[in-house]
Amino acid sequence: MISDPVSLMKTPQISAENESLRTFITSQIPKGAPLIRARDNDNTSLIRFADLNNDGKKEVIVFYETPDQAVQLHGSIFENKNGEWVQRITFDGEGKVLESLRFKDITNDGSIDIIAGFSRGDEELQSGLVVYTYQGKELEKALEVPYSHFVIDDLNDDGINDLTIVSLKRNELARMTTYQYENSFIELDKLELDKSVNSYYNVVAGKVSPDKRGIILDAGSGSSSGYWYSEMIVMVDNKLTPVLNDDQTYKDVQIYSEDVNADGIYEIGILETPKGWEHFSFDEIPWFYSYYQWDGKEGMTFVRQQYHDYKSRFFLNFFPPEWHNIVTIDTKSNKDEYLRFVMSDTNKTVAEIKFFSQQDWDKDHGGWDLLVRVSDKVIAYKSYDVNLELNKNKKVETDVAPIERKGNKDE
Amino acid sequence: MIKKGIRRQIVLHYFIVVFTALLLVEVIFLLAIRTYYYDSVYSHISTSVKNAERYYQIFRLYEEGNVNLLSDMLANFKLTNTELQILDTKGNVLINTTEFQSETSITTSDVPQAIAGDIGRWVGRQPSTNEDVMAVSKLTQLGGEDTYILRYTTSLKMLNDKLFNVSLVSISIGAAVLAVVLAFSMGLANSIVKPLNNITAVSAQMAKGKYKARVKGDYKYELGELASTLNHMAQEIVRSNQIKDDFISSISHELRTPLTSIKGWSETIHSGGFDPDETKIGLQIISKETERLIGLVEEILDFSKLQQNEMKLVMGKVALKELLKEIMLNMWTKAEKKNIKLVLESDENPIVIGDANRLKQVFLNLVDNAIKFSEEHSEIQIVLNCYPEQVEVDVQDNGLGISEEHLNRVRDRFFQVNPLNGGTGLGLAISQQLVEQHQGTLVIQSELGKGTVVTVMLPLSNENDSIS
Repeated sequence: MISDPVSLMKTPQISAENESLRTFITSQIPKGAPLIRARDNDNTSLIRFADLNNDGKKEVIVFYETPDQAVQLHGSIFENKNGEWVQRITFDGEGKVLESLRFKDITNDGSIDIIAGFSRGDEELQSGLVVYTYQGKELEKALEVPYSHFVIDDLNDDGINDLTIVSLKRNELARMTTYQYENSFIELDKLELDKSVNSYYNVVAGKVSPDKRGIILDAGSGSSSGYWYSEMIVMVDNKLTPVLNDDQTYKDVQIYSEDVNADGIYEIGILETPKGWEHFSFDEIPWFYSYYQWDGKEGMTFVRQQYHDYKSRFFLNFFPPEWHNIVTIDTKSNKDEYLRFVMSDTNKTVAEIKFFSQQDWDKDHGGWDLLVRVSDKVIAYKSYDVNLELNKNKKVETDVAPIERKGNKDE
Repeated sequence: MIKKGIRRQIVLHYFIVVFTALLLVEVIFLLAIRTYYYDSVYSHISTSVKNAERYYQIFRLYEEGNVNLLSDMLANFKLTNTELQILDTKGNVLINTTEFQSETSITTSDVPQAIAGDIGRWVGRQPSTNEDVMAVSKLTQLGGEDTYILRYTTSLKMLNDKLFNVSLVSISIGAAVLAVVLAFSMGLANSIVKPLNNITAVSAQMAKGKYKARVKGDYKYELGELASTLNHMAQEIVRSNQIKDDFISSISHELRTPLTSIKGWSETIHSGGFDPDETKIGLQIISKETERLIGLVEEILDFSKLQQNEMKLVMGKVALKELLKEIMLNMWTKAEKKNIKLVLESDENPIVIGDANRLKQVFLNLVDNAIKFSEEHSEIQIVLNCYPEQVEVDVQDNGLGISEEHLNRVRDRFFQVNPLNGGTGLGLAISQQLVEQHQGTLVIQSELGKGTVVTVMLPLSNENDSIS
């Protein structure tokens, strides 16, 4: 009479509407072909809704894979006719991998366009960007360009979305092109970039100062160990204009540009040496990550600073801005064993970080709170200051590391 | 419905007791099983997510660019028979295992619990599908990367159906138990009520005067006692009625004899023509018979006084031996007539506190009885014995004796072994009452054909200076 409760678990239903749609889609696409999502994280659902033909009703767009066919990527559009779903169009995708997928009105006609990035699954090869427009009958390709990165923003601030393509082929080509649609895509401007760049590991677009929109390219350069810097490009009179020079944004580790203080303006991160460590070797220094905003001219203003583990195993809360140049790390610290954060003016310890082996942790860890577990180590902390109290006021479940949350990268 | 009465009372009591007990047990059982089911699901999910998280933290290649982190996480954390959603800390669904994007952000209580560090749990109804689900959420942090909430939902439909079935089964078992208990209690109630009804009916007949009616049936315990007591009562009523009737007939006879002789003599005298001697004899007889009538009436009066506790004793010191000697003298002539020899055996002369006249009446009655039931040429012994606290007087004869059957009843008022012998049947009853009023006892031992011993025990006076 009594059975195992776990065996009675069942995936929850989705709404009847969605269920019938899913069944219909499954019946229309080749059997066994899985629906796919784009590789990037921007659009994560498998069945997507967008009003492509501006008729007030949303169409359904799916992409699916048929690995054993000549054309491996397909898309399909479904329309709702008086409560009945009908398949409108099936089209072939380019390449093998759906890299990105955006639904934005880029042609400025009020209807949503599909902006899809494809690749052949090889990092070295250029990816291809296709802008599809759909007016109810035919799917038209409004644009086909090779790209490394693309962003959709309104750089020239004219209220119309524009599309900026970054193409990079190391030592051969590095170019940024901004398009805007007026009956067809026209180039607003084109900017040649540094060809020696290995890759752009992060590309963001948005506000870079209170009254200016721009693009930040976080670039990796150099051979072997390499170095990193950020390029900030804004549009002045429809001309792509770099601001800041590479030295200002130079860093020895990858730091992602992001909006750390949630004011809607992007910051660029650089490394700073904690006070007292000036004469240590690079590998010994427990670097601080400092984030700066463009001041609108040629300089940068300090925004926030935090300690970020050089292997990205953990990071601490942002220090309060007024601690800048005051908080430091005791020079007896070792960034793989023990770190002590002190205020250089009062010599007050504000936090400690300690690395435990799993055995030592299990034996005794009195007074230490768990920060994070990594493969062979348990990293724990103690804090003595309200600003680094991390999650102290909450009941910390042992596996949850009380770490500052970052903002959503793409906002 | 059962009509009011003990049966309903018993059945109702059983019903209430058993129903309450069953209700408690069922509620506890169902709560426990529900908790067990829900907790099992919860712990299954939370164990899975902890394991997956541990695995993911250790074996994930975190140096790699995380373009597809969310799908990667989704693949790592997904759990069979659940829907996994990955939320940001504001409750927005970033990705989920269904094909559809979640349009609304999640606001259920499991999310804040997860943010606080617990493994959050929420049971409720999915608004879009009206399905009962359990949501289990956990905050995860990937070695210094962004913080996400893993939210699993699983349908409780099958679980609730199962719980419903279990409830139904247990309720029907409970109902069956209740029915069986009710049937048993009905039987029990009948086993009490039926005899009671029977007894009631019989006693109603008795109340109407049908003392021949008897409670039939072999009842157990209290009911059996009640039945036999009632039967005994009826028997006693019949018997005492019989005694009363006997008394009336014997007393009428007893009263008639002297009255006849009084009437005869008074008529004879009234007609005149007799010489004075004859008249004198007649008057003497009238006087004697009148005395006898007075004696009879006094005896009856005494008895009724005793019955109503109106007898006043005039207490004083009584020398028992002197009293017995007096009685011997009084009874001498009567004994002489039957050639019976009266013997007093006594070494002491104890003093008791009592009413001399009444004690005399007791012993006169005893000796009179002894003479009455003794054969000619026999001997009646009166034995006086002293003990530390009391004194014993035995009146012993070798007469008819009393059968065992009558022995218990000779002291009852109006009882006579042979009602034709004359007398009222009150003598022994009065003697017994008088002795008891003196804090004494009267015991009769007898064997049919061998004689009777009546033993009177009286308490000894405190100032026990016996006169030798």
